[in-house]
Parts: sequence; C-alpha cells; structure tokens
Amino acid sequence: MSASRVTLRVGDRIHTVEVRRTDGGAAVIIDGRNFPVTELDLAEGEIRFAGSEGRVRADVVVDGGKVHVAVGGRHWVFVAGSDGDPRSGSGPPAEGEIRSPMTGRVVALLVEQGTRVSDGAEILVVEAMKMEHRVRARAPGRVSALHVKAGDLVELGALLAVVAPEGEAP
Amino acid sequence: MRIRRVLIANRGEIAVRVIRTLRARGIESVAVWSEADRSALHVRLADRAVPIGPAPATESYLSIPAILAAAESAGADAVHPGYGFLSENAGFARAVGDAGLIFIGPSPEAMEALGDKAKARATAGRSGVPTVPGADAPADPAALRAAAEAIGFPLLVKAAAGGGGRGLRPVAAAGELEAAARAAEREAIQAFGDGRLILERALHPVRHVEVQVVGDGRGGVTAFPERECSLQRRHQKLIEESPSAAVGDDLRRRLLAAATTLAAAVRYAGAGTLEFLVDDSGGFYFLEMNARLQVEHPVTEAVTSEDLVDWQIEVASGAGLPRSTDALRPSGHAIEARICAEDPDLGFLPATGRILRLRLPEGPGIRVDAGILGGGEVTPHYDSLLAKIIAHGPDRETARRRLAAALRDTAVLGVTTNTGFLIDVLESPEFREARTFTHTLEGLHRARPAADVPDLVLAAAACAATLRATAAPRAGAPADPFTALGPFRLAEDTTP
Repeated sequence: MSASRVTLRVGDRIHTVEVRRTDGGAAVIIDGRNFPVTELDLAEGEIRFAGSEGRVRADVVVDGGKVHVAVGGRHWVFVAGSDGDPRSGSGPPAEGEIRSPMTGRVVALLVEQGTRVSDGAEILVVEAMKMEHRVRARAPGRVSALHVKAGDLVELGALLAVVAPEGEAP
Repeated sequence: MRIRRVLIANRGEIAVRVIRTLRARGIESVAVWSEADRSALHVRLADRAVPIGPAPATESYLSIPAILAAAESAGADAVHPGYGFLSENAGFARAVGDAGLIFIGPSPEAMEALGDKAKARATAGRSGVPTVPGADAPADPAALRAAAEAIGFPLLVKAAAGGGGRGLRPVAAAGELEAAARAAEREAIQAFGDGRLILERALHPVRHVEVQVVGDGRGGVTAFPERECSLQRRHQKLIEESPSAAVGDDLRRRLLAAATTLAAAVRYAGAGTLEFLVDDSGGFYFLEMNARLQVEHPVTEAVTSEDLVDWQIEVASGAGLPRSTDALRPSGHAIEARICAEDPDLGFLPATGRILRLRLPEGPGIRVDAGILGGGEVTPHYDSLLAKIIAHGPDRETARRRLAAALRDTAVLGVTTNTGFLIDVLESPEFREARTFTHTLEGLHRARPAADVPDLVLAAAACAATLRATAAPRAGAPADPFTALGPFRLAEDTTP
C-alpha cells in the first residue's frame, strides 16, 4: 500500500507526515523521523494506537481542512494540506492590517480615519464573554481604513482596520 | 409554602445543576432561553422551556420583564436566579416577590445591605468582624492623601459598588494615588453608575478563603467548612478547594464564627458566601459577601455530602435549616477546576465555536457539572465557563491526583479551552505543596514553557487525516442529554 503524505500546520510551524498502513498498524514518518505505530484502531472521533511511548488514546475530528486532536487533556488544531484557512493563524497578517483576535462585538472605536497612531496604540475594543480586549496597532502609522463601527459583531480574523505606514499613499 | 414549579433565570452549567436537584425533589423545572441557546443543554433537560428574547443578555437573561413574563406564562411559583445575571439584583428579587412568586435567595434588603462594599464593611465593623484596614475615599485630594497615608502603602482603590475587579486600582506609593483614584472612579461610574470609592491596604502574600453559609432569615445560620479560592486571575477563580490547607482547626472556628455573626446580623436568608483574606500569620479580614450560590459550591457539597440547592429550596419554602453547623459531618478533601473557553496561549482570550466532540470524565470521586453538549455552539454572548470538574478524595493529594487524571480524560474539540493549563497548575510544585496565594496563578501562567507538539499527536493527526475522515457531528445531532450529564454524586464512597 502506498504512503499518504500530509502537511500539518500549527502556528508558524509546518510538519510533514507520511503514513503507510501496515499489518495492524502504520508506518509513520514525522519530519523524517520514524514513529512506528502498532495496534492502530480508528473509530468515530477517536484513535487508539501503541507507539514508542506506549498506548495512546486521542480524540480526533477532521473538519473543514482542520484536524482537531486532544490527548491527555491538551488539544491542538492543525491545518491539513497546503490550502490553509487564512484565519487559522497561519502567519502574521499583511502589513498594517488589524484583524479581530476573537469572535465578539466591537464596543468602542478609539481612533478615527486619518488618526496618527504609534506602535502599540489602542485602535478599538472588542468584547466577548464579558471580557473586553483592546486591539492595538502593530506598527506606527496612520489609520487609513476602519471597516467596523461600534456595535458590529465580528468573526475571528475579520479585518477591522488598516494602519498605513507614514509616508505611503493610503 | 410548597414549591411545585421553579423557573431558573439562568443558563449553562448552573441551570443544569439546579434542574438536577429540582428533579430529585420532584419539582418541575422551567428553563428560559435566548435565541443563542435554543438547543442548549439546560433547555433540553428542563420540563418546560420558555424563550425570553434575543442573544444579548441585556435583552434576555438580564431582562426582568422578560423573565417575569416567562414565569407567568409557565405557571411557575418560584424563581431560582443561579449566579451572575440578575442573581444579586435587589430590584429583581423585589419584582419576583411583588409578582407573588418565591425568590430562592436572600431578601432584597439583605442584598442591598451586603452588595455595597462600604455598607458591608460598616456592618462587619459593628459586628466586631475584622476588615482589611481601609476607609471611604474622600473626594478632596488633600483628604484623600491623608486617608491613604493613615492606611499605609501599598493600597488598593476600589469601587464601593464594585466586583469582579472593575473599578479596582493598585497604588504602590503616594505619587500614584490621585491618578489611580481618578481611573477607578471613571471605571466605577461606567460599570456600576456609582463613582464612590474605598481605600484598602494591599496585603501580600495573601490567600482568598471564603465561608459558605445558609441562613433561615430569622438569625439562624449554618456555616460550612471553608473553601480556598486563591488561584484566580483578574479576580476570576480557576481552581477552588475545601478545606484550605492553610486553615487549622482554631482559625476555622474563628472564620466560621465570624461568618455566622455577620450573616445573622443581617438576618440572612438562603445561601451566601463571605469572602475573607487570610495572611501568612493567620490573620483574617472580611472582604465582602456574595448573596447567591457560588460557582464553586460543589466542593462544599462534596466534603459535606449536602445539596446546597436543596438547602436553598428548604429555606425558601419556609422549612428552616436542614442542619446546624455542628451537625455537619465533613469528610475528605475536594478540588474543583473550571473548564473555560479561553486560550491560555493568547492571554486567556475568549474562544468561540462549535463543539465538534466532547468527552467528559467519570470515575470514583469525580463529579461533572457541565452546561454544554457535543455539537453545541459556544457563542461570545455569555461567560466562558463550560464545565466544572470536581474531585473528592479522603485527602488532598488523592483529590489532586483524581482531578488531574479526570482532566487528562477530558476532550473538548472545536473550541479552545484552558484544560491543559489547569493540569499544569495541578501538577505544579506550588499546588502540590499548597503554596497558593492570590498572585500564584499569574506567576504559573508567565512561567509556562512553549511546548513543541509531541510526535504522538502529529501521528494521530496524520492518521486521522489520511486513513479515515473522522467526521464532525452535525449541529444539533441527536445526543441523549441525560447521558451527556455524566455522573453526579453528592455523597460518594471515599475509599481510595
């Protein structure tokens, strides 16, 4: 049986993993390292196997190109393949883009279009679950676009504002 | 008066928990739901469910007219407020009474006397219960400076009407005083519509220890063994336990006596909690009283084998207190961990989304109070608490190990939670050795190493992605809410 290869992206790290089914288990190569798996058991939402560190039970869900894994009370979310979701924290946003760090409601705008801001200046306030989060500029510049107003509901990763570096055309 | 049908003016895990006791007593339960909670667990479990409005809490769970209308349409004869939302709103308690319904909680007068920090301090002073050295903050800058000098630095400026850390500013030295007072006042007006401030000496290191009481409204009070809730972040508790490893028999007697005196002084009715700070030398200071059931009440239930919601109903029906302080038989140690939809790697940023898979732990001494279902949606509208895991054992170390094992056996996929951080805290030397103070949790969070992804996790992810698509359940997929509840024990076998 031929091997399947998958890239798993988490944060700014990308892991390449090859999986080949063997008799009762799988031959797994993680970033070039061998990780032998015996007694592989795939069930709905759950994988059990024996690896080099003993028996493992993992809760696993593949959903919309993401692989969610929980082992031992900790969890990870990977973007599988190479066609990642831009909102999944795959890398820093484009220069000057201020994106929402969470799904919530915009409760206040602290700047106006054209306001000059310093690095770290508070741009607006997003609220979720009774917690207010101040979204800040990541570099000095001038607010060239505000895409939301107070009261708007925003999704995780939504474009909120753009801070253009000084001297650049808007 | 016999209570037959109770409307629960709340949602999430506490609504589910109240339904359990109502069911055990043969009382009908009425859930209320906002549009965001149409298929929530508490709605599925209740005998009846009434919609009360749109998702924002101000238009639903905080709307007194909407909740009273729901109570009337469902024919409820009593209202349980849970915690948060309207639970400590004296106007709500009064409106419930005026509608001819029983409010399962303290009287509006007791709430008013205790809800205000300045008034509560004065009541404590009159009863001879020590408070943190402090005073009302005068508005005049010179008088403010003089009052602060008399207390000594470092100190805290606090909103008199405050709570949850809002309107609170630490002041290290005299030079910071005025700016801190102005900032606290602004925040207090914004949050509570009341800019009055108090000054309090800052104690460090200090533990947060609280005493659960239930009063009969006539001056009779039962006080339960203390809970320690020092592990908190921005005044949000994360791990609580009972008893406190820092409280010996003598200190316990004095804490419970102080709590009893204060609750009796206001003829407190129902369940309430008196919060104290305990310093290194065993000195204790009354902070404030919470006039409601606390999130962390299950640790008290676990060590005493009592059901505090049942006690609330007994008192509200006029039946009196089930037992006196001396008749309680506490046994063993209990620890609770709060599973919240927050990302510890992103400064505890709130996390939302659909729960793609949910596995909750079970086992000897484990109780789960959850308000979520697999396939359910975690929205940004309400607080981040998803579930509480409570472990009981014959001693603290057994409870600690049981809780850590239970958390390792917990999986919430689709929504980021703090479960891994809870395990880190339980395994830390600070927690093992019970060196827990109010500043400990922030330190443990800062000291967290950035961990690489273990190979076995990558192997599991790759196997799932390549060998078989393990599909997510559809939203609202049929799940039996009764099995989703997990085991629920009040009295449990404590053999190790």
